Amino acid sequence: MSAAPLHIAGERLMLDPAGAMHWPARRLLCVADLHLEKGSAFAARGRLLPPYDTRETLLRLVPLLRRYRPQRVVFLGDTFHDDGGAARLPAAERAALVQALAGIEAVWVAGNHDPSAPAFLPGAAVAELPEGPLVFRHIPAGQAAGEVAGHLHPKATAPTRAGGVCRACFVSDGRRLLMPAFGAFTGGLDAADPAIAGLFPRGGRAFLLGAGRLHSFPLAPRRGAAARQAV
Amino acid sequence: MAEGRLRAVVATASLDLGIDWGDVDQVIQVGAPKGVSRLLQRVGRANHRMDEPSRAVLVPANRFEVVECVAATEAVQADELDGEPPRPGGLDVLAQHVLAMACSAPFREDDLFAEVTRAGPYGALARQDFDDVVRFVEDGGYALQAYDRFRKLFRDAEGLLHIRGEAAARQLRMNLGTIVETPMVKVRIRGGGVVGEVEEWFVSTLEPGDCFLFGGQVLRYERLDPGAAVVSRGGEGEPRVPVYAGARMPLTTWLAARVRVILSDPRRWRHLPEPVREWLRLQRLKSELPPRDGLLVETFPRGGKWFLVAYTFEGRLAHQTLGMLVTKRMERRGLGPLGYVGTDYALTIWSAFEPAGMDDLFAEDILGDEMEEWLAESSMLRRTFRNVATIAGLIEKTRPGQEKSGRQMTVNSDLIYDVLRRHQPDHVLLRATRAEAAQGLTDVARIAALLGRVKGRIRHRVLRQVSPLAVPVLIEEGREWVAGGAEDALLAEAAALVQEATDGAEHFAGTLAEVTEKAALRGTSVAREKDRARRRSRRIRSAPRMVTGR
Repeated sequence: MSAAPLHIAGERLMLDPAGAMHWPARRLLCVADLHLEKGSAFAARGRLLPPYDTRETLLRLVPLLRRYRPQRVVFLGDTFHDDGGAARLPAAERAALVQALAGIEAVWVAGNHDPSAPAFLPGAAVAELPEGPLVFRHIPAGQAAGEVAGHLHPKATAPTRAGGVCRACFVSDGRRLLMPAFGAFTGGLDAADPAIAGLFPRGGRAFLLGAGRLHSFPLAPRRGAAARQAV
Repeated sequence: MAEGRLRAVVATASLDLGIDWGDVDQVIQVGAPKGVSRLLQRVGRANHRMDEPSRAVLVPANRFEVVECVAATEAVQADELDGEPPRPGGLDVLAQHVLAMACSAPFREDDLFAEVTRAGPYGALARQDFDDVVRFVEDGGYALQAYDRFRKLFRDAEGLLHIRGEAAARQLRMNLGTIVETPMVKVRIRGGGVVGEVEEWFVSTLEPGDCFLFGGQVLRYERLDPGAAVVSRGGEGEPRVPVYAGARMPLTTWLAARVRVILSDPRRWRHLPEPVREWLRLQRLKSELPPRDGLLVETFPRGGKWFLVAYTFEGRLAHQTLGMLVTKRMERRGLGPLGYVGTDYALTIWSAFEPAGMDDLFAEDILGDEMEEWLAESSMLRRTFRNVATIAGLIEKTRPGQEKSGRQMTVNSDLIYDVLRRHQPDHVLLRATRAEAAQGLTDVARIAALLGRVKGRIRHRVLRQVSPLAVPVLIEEGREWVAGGAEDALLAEAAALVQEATDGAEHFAGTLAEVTEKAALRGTSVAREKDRARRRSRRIRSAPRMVTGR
């Protein structure tokens, strides 16, 4: 696994191919859109999806915590699939999460799925987190400079000589960083969709998650993006 | 039609059986019949009376099908019929039945088991499987007891199972049925009404400005709104034609054998029309005819990929299994297999690097190890899982009024498949998926027989371009993608190319495709615009499936 450096607002951030961002200068690790307990959220509505999504997502998170040994972990919103998600955490998964976060300062950025903080989990709940020249928030806002956001679950299809390959991705234009969704049951939205492309009117780069490394592709600037957004 | 108000009906296999319209004058069979009995059934729709002969016109869609039609009519004349044995019932269908029974009235498990096993397809149903299905309906049947409070059934003091709550019953009724439809998108004229529906994947291949032929007019694609593809009338350029990928019947083993005999024996070509004879003669000239007992394998480069075509004539199902096995072997040999398609006549594989060592690729020991693992990785199994999960009620088909937010309401079945396979590989739905897939794939014994027969008799021709025989095979739909190392290798290669071509500059808009397209054409001589367009569309079409890669 080799992470790729990206500079935003003069800060050097490392993008990990597992879908997490590490900020070495602040010893901070950021993951977005875990959507924990999505399975049980569906079960409550009568669709008995496998209850293993939280377990699987945590199994992906723990090695990252081991590798980077961050001081702080920023959960960039939609950490739980719904507000009741934290309460539904099975005992084993709850213990695993608490244990994984032992000695680490957790910051729970509020998402649209989980506006309230998980009461029994350690750490602070915030609407957004300003940190040096950067600001961490769930839904990307109008002002882009130094923003790290999630919410949109970007994915992209890269043309290769033998057909398109579609993967979840980071998207950035050097001003804003859009994080891929980290959860086991989270799908994606194409980076060409106006909701994402509109955030990068001057184009940008998509960093597709690969096995062991990221694959970087330019994202076309959007013709008439501003006009379209106005409609 | 029965009232005589319609002059013609275009039908899929749905009108094969069980229709008794006495006054159908003419049946037109488009495409090859794929089976002798099936051909007879269809022809029998015309002039459906005891005392008069039925007639039909056969319209083969490619040259292989011409041969097949000739073989089928010869078989009819010789009074030789084929047919498939009935299949055992699926556990996903049983799951729906169990829930439906609970909705109608409380039941006792022993009684229901006795009743179900009286039905032919479930005669051999194991009690363990039945119990697991009931548990699945009850609470999902997961080893992790997480959904106790969400259970759909409850047991009363006398051991009767009841449905719990009206919501579960309503959900069942909304999703009743065992046919899983391909997702459709409405086509709406801007400022006007809906003119019809096309399959979702087709829309995903369109870019704004592309036009397509629909309902007798040329439409220009503008954008995809929630619930409908917005189009306007008119448009420039050659219009595309929407394709509906209905269910397809595999060529029966028996008919395949007859086709093989005709092809390998020029003395039997005299019943074939001249263009087909010429095609076969050309094949003999450019490459060679498939030998009667051995195996002809052709390899050639095309569009940045290497193609391998094996003329095995074992029917589509056997070829799909064989494709899975051979690509796995190719992956181990570092040949970077990308995908394959099995037609009734041949197996085609495309790869990143030139395939070699045919005796090794088609060796009998590819049937040996890790068969289960190979199966589990395949896109076919993922697709089967989606169907099984939908029928069993794990994934919702429809919910009136919520089509709009359909995407948000569902979880990608591939993600569910991956998580479930990792955490509970013996779950009843995965068992049902494997059983279902095993019926789709022909049994291993037949492939073993093929590999044994051709051992030491594989003729490998390295060609500079596609051979006449390979043409109808290459345009076949129904490709399977190989998930694995090649995808990452290609991504790295494409990313490096982009870097090289632009020198790191960020300015290019949409030239990415062009750059990789050029790269793709290295080593081939001519690139026609049309060919390029076709490749592009195929590439994009693959996208929804590739989402599963992660």
